[in-house]
Amino acid sequence: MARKIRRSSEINISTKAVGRSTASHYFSFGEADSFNIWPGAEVISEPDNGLADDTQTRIDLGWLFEALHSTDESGVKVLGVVVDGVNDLVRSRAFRLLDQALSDINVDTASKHVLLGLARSTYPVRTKLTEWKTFVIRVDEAFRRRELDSDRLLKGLAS
Amino acid sequence: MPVLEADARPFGDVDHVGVAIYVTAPGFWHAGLLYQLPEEEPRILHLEWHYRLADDQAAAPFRWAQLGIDDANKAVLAALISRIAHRKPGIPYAFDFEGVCFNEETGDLTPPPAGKGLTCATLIIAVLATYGHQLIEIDTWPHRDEDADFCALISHHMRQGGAAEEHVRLVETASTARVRPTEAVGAANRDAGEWPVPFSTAAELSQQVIADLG
Repeated sequence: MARKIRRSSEINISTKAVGRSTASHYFSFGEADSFNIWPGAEVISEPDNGLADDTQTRIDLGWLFEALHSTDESGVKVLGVVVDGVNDLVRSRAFRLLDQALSDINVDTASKHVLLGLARSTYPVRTKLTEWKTFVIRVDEAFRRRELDSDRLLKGLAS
Repeated sequence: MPVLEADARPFGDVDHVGVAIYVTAPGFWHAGLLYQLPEEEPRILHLEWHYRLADDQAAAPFRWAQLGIDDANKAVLAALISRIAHRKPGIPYAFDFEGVCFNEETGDLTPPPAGKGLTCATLIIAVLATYGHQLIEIDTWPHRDEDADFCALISHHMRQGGAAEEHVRLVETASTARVRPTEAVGAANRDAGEWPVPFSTAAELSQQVIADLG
């Protein structure tokens, strides 16, 4: 499959497939400011997010694929991967990318553990994320649709 | 009703995250966070002393109690605690833990200014708070005369151990209410629907924890 590389006016990203599985995995753009993630996709640089220097930083987005495709059965097992992925983005100060991840995740299909993991692990940097509050609201609504005790699960995140 | 699990109950029975405590000397206790990742052995993250954050395999003389939050959040917390344990941030020992929670740039539990820090008890509180779980109502905690004596003892040992003088001076002159390990453990075991726990409740639970320790 052809590699897709695209520049946008807001995000300068080049991609590289790392071949983590037998299938080819790519990172491609969909609608403006949205993107689809496959395992092995890596963001090479995101210059508008306050990275400390101009050197390209390799950021592995495989964790996001795991999160997007998690189920309540698999969710606990991928928690570590998700938390590590979030921490990598936070350490790289890739807050716009993290915002995009929170915006893209399907809260009706992702594992409740993964959703909680995303909400809790990003809580410390929530003031850096424009999408955080909206994400928590979406998770709250999704939990209620699933008839989960959302008040208890998300306690402390509203403040 | 006991707070701590029976002495013989294995640490591996913890539901992802609990709290742990033991008696170090009559009237003195040491506490930490018990956590277990899927298919791994249970471990205890605890602040042993000034800049000594330890992550040890769970074992006696610690005793333990379940954490009062729901199972899904405990699974998440276990993953988060394991990452803190791996990063091993340098945490100074101090009673004033106001604002000692996280760095909003890195999301990391990071060293605070001189005079501020954590104790074994407030490590539990700070880790929970970092991820949105407010364990206690700190404003309800009293200043107790005996805590001043404890503070003086700690300051003495910190000086003997070579801690920075400015930090020690600020620790011994701080007017912060002390949260005792037995109070933190008792509060943590309480159902999270009742968090943040006020001092009056934590004090009662603390007495139960002391009784459980025997």
